[in-house]
Amino acid sequence: MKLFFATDVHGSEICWKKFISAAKFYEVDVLILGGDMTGKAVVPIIAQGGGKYKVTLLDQETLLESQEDVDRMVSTIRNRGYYPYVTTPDEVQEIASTLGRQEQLFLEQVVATMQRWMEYADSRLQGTGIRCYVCPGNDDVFEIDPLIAASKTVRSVEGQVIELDEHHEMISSGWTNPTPWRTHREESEEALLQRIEAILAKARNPANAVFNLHAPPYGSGLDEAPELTHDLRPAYAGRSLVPVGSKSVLQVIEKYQPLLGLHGHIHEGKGTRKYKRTLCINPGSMYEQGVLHGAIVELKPNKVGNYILTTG
Amino acid sequence: MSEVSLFVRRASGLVRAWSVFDAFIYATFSINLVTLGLFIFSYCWYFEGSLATAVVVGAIFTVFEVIVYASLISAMPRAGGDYVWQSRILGRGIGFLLSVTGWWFILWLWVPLYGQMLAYEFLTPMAALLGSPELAIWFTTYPWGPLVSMLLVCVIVFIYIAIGMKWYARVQKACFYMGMVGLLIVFGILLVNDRQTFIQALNASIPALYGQVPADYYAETIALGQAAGVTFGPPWGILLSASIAIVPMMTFFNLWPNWGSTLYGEVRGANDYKRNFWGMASAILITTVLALIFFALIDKTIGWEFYINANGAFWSSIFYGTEVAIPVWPYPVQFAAFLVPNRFLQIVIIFLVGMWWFGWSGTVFLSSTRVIFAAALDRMLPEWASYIEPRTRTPVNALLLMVIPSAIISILYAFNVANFQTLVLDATLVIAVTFLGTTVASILFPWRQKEIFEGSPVAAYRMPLWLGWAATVLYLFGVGYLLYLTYSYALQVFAQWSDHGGLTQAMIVLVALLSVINVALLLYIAVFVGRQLLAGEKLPLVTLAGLIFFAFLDWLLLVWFWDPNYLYGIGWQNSTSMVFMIVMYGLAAAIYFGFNAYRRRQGIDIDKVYKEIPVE
Repeated sequence: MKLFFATDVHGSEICWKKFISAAKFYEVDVLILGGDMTGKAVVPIIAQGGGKYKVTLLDQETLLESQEDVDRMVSTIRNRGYYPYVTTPDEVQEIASTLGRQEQLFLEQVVATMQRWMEYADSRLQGTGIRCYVCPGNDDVFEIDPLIAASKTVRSVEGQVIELDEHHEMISSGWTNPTPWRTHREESEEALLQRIEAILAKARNPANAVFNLHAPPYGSGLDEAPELTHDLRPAYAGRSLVPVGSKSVLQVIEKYQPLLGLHGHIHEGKGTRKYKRTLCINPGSMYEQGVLHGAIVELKPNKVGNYILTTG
Repeated sequence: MSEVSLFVRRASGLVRAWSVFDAFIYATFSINLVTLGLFIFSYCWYFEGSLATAVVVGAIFTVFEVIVYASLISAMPRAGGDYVWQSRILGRGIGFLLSVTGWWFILWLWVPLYGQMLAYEFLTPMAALLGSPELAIWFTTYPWGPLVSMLLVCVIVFIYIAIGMKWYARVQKACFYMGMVGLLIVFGILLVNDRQTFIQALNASIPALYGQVPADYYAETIALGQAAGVTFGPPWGILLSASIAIVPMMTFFNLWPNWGSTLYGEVRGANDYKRNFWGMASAILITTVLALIFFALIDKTIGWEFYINANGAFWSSIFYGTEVAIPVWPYPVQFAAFLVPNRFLQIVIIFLVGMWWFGWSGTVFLSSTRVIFAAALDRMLPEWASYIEPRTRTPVNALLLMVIPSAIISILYAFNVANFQTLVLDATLVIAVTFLGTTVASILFPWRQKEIFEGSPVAAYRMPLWLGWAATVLYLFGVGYLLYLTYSYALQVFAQWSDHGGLTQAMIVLVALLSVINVALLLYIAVFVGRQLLAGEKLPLVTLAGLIFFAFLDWLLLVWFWDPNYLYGIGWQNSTSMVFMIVMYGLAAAIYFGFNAYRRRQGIDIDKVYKEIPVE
């Protein structure tokens, strides 16, 4: 059985499409997305009158002079993982100054995008026999869960044990240990450990399972991120790297020694790490560039066969 | 109220801008005036040009390198640097070949060079100041002293790797401040003293510190330098034509601001591109200014004639066994310390300035262990290579892949087997070839990776059409000049054909073949860019900067390989150098093709690793 794992696409339309297309390209049976599907920014495309629009993307202001320009910019923004929003100067001010309005705007964008993504997946995967599992991550709002559940081909596996094949189960959780940003699905190490143990209690054979846990194990090297100052600036110009992974995840991996650990969360932490028989993988993420990092892994009855990290 | 142009929500990874000053610190360390700079200045004892002009000209071209790297980092951050940029834009084979040679194999040769600098700038003067002249001179005397120093490099860098980037970043920053204070003290000492005081201090200190007989070391050194054939120009004065010949030497120290490059955080844009640019560009600018100040102060107090002759006498004694008056490397910092009549203060000065070495030395294995990991992740090395020892979290096997070959090269270097000590500039040449690959990638990037480019902060930096044309015409002139140089050098070298043996003749043929490939590459780039311009496209800044830096790198490689005047000593006439490089590239090719075949037999389609997934 061959699986393709990617993670942290963060709203990048092109990365999602590549993820869905990866099954055919890499000739795999199962697609697994590790979490953090939603974007982090809304970029307003602001009407200037006379059919012209202004947009500031990546600190660069651009005047869009035609609908074709706007459409192209919408695509560029979506592919970078941001949500384009065509609007007026007055509405922008209203969003900026009204309490709760930004959150509402984000939610609308997230929901619309997720629905579009599910439709895309259904149109490409239905009838192919390819299974597609996703597991929302710490950056994902809870409102996306029912949207995924409504898909015909994409299955949300948060907190579940699923059978990948007759030999292998997969346990999944997108929850992480605390981050400086107080995101949606994060909790204390103790609570996270309890959560993972509760899922594992439903597994028949954890030692032969795949642990699809968004947070990488602490100190694995798959969890190295730039050290931040108290005001969230990369210290030492980003040179100082510190482990920020989960001790609970490390604990369950060392305790159960599963075949495979699939992780994400830390985009800079691309790599693999072996803990005795367990191969842990974090393919990393370059979603803003529209590049899909991933891993193709071949599972044999009692071991991991070939694997390779991809930059697709 | 200013207009809002972006809304962000609470999400991990959203960080604020990093400090440009910190980026400047790391880039300044990478260029490193004290270690790389002083070391290569000392080699320039047989050029008639001006060192100052060469440093400035080199720095100007390096600014274009900074633009190329700042652009690629902004467009493809966290990608894995040269390896991934080249693999993605030029193809995986080229990316692998150029990256493992430039960021891994050639670092084996840097270890003896780092060792030499440690011996010359720290161990020797420190041992002398601590009252052990025999030990001091032993550290400078081949083979054993320098060899021990080279092996010490491995130990020190091993410690840096073991403590991890968190602590190494702190060590570097502390070393920067200490090193800069030390350098400013040296400048101050040289400023307030005069030539006569220096001559007296030198003549008193050499016997006192190194157990030599009293003599007029100043005059004797100049005489021995002259006897060794020293030629030099004044530190000042443009002397453009003669100084250009020194530029290929200067790249040994000023080609590396990109080692300090960095980019983190998301939803960030052109401001971060500018930060990256200024972090590296300011390092070049400040280092160049510091070098010019150093030259001026050496000229004023130590005397330019003495300085260059001291260098010539020393290296002539190493390479040709000629007589030398001062038995150690002419370290300007120690010369300045001689002017301080207090042993403790002298130790403090050597210690502080020595921090330029200690803060910088970790770079020798850090980049290479990363490339080893990247190659292992791509399954081009066994999994074993990326093993991390669980207790110390040290990549022991990757380190072994550095330490063992480095130790072997160090032995060859220390014992000067097959003239290994002449390979100094190979250390720069091989990395320059890697940079050449990245520069070609940067020129093609906006078209070969259109989606990524268009969605990046550097897409907005497009030049007016006229400037694109002007740069391309300039490039074409450059190409014309390079073709002329190739032809002219080839004529000169082939005229000596019958004077050489079979091995050297084979090297001439190899250089000629490489030149043919180079001509094809120069013309391909010209046609490629010309087509874009004819189609009415405005050239992006990254392409324009790439064109200029590409021509510069190409010229460097041309003069290094053909070297008709025997100035650099690593071209066709140095079979050891050529064979060394052939072995490195051959080893990289063997790993690449060997592992490709092996993985294919395992059922892994390795060709798809860097291929873009087609979207329906």
